Amino acid sequence: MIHNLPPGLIMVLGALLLPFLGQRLSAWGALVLSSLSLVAFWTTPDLHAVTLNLFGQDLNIVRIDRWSWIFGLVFHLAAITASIYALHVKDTKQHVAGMIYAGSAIAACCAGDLITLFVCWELTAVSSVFLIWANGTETAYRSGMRYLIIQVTSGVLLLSGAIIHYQQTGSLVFENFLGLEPGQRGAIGDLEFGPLLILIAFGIKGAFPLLHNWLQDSYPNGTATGTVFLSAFTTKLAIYSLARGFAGLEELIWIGCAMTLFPIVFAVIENDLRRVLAYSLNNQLGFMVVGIGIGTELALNGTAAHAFCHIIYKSLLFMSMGAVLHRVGTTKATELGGLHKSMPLTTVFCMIGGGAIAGFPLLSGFVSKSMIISAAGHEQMFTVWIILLIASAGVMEHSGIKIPFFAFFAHDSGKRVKEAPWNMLTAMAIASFCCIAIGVYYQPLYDMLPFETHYEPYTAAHVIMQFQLLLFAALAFVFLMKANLYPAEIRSTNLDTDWVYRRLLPRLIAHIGKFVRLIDSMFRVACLAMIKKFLNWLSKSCSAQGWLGSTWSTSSMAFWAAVLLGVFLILYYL
Amino acid sequence: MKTEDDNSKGDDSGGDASWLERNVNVVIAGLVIACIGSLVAQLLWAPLFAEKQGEASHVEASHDNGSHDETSHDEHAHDEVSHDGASHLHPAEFAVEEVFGFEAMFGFAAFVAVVFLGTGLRLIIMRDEDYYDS
Repeated sequence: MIHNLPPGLIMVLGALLLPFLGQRLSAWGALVLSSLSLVAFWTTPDLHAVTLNLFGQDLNIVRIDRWSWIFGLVFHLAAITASIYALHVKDTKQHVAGMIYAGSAIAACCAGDLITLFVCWELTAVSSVFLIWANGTETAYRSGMRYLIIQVTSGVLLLSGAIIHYQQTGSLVFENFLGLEPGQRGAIGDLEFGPLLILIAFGIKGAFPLLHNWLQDSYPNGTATGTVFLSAFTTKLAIYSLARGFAGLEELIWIGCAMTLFPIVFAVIENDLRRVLAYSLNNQLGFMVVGIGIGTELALNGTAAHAFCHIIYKSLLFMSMGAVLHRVGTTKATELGGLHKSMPLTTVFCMIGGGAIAGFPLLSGFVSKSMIISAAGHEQMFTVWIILLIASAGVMEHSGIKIPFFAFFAHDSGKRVKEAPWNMLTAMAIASFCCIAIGVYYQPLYDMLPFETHYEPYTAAHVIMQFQLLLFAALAFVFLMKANLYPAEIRSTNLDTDWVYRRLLPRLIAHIGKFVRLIDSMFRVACLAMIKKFLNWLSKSCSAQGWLGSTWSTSSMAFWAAVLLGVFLILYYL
Repeated sequence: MKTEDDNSKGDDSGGDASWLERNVNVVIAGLVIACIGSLVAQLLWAPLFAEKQGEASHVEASHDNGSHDETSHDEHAHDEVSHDGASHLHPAEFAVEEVFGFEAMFGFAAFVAVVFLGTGLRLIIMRDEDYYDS
């Protein structure tokens, strides 16, 4: 029975009961809900599908296959760790929002048709914004508003695309829009208009270049615990959807390459460490998008594996920064440093997360990222391969070194705080354990991947090369620090594409408004002058001396009457 | 390894300096040794690498095509056993991978390039902290 309902529904509906538990218990309620949902999901039979007939339309509300299984599973794990992490939070609405958000993301990745996907897609947007607003500041409110508008726009595009697609093909089934099998590739030109809109919708949520900035704008404004939720679901749902709908779309390779590159440069100069993590998240999505674009079994496996590992280590990194925010009150690099003395455990967990994302052997990032890079190699895509290597060195820079270094080491800020609360430490310990466990014993993960694989990440040459890349990147950091060439942290705002809609457009609109007002006022003045002239003339004419107002002689009246009669006579004969 | 990298950036700060802060140079030395170690490791593995490359590529290629029949996998497993460590080597997809220290130089150069690009980017996009609030 329970398996005929969309997975995650337990969390969505259960969340509505959380307010009745009171502030203290609602956090535990959230943990119970996500655990129950995991049990229900775990016991769902393989290749399970449920169809619901609604308004004469068959909706495939549950579709469990290997793709939805791996994403559904990791979404559950993320929801559980994030719930543990948020156990100390007494704000019930955050727990409600978190559960609805996670539940709808899980339901979305188990949706077999575009309408179910759309409903869940919008639900993730609407519920998650409360995790930003919960921060309570004006900045967070505005940022959340921008986030909501952009996310809802993505949903509207998805719905429009789905409707157009339905009109063209008569099908709402969510599958590869190019009809490609793994290993085949297609171009964007082959897409109809409907799927193109859907691609843009996915691209917005997946933070494609130029559509990306909602991510760096909103995530650093979430609450310490809310951002941990945020980091796990929205973007990875987009990755899942891209893999399902557009695997093998060649342009995605280049979009992905751009995504791996530009955020690393922004990350170097960003002061807010949670924003650095948001850029880093963007860069990691790039690896996955490249994998989707390559579209071979190895590449798609790499994407799924990388999404799985990424959700865990990225949560871990956001958790460590959340702990810093919770204790110190800021995550600005300029205000931090030397925290390893007062938060030693958080430091260790953060470094495990940093090591995992950088791809150190024996940690999770290594066994997943390697698949995507190898897939590019196997396809003989030299440029892509080089770009991914540069991006790997970049990851080492912003997440492997910058995050732990500036938060916990660097110059001692003199701040002495308490270690993170026990529940935060527990959640971070679980995530760290997963990072190590997957890195060492990766076979269970590989067995879950969408396609069967015999990939072997731990070849001697591969391990040696990875160590060379990362160690020498670290050496470069030491060199730059010693030579005083590493850019100092500065309290600043760095412009990104959000400048367009936060500065340029408002200013442009203001200028256009000014121009319109100017034209308008000139027009009014001219009109008023004309009317005034006319009235003057009229009053003059109608006055006792005016030609209309003065008395006329009888003869002229008789003359004009005769003229009028004459004209009438002529017209009558005509 | 990771611990060494990140700790290598500790800095002295008087009074209650931690062990790391007092021993930055030790940590940096550790990193340098690890770097040299990774180069030496490549030297040690290099001859086997070249010898094995052809065969390994063949095996890997069969994975990529998604041929999962048991026999080929078994052969692979057998292969690994008979050639011991040699077959664990990663097949080079591009000639440049075989250049000694390629990834080391690449990692160093890419890191420096990214940081310099970032410094340059600051000239264009950096504004006051309250830029959007003003």
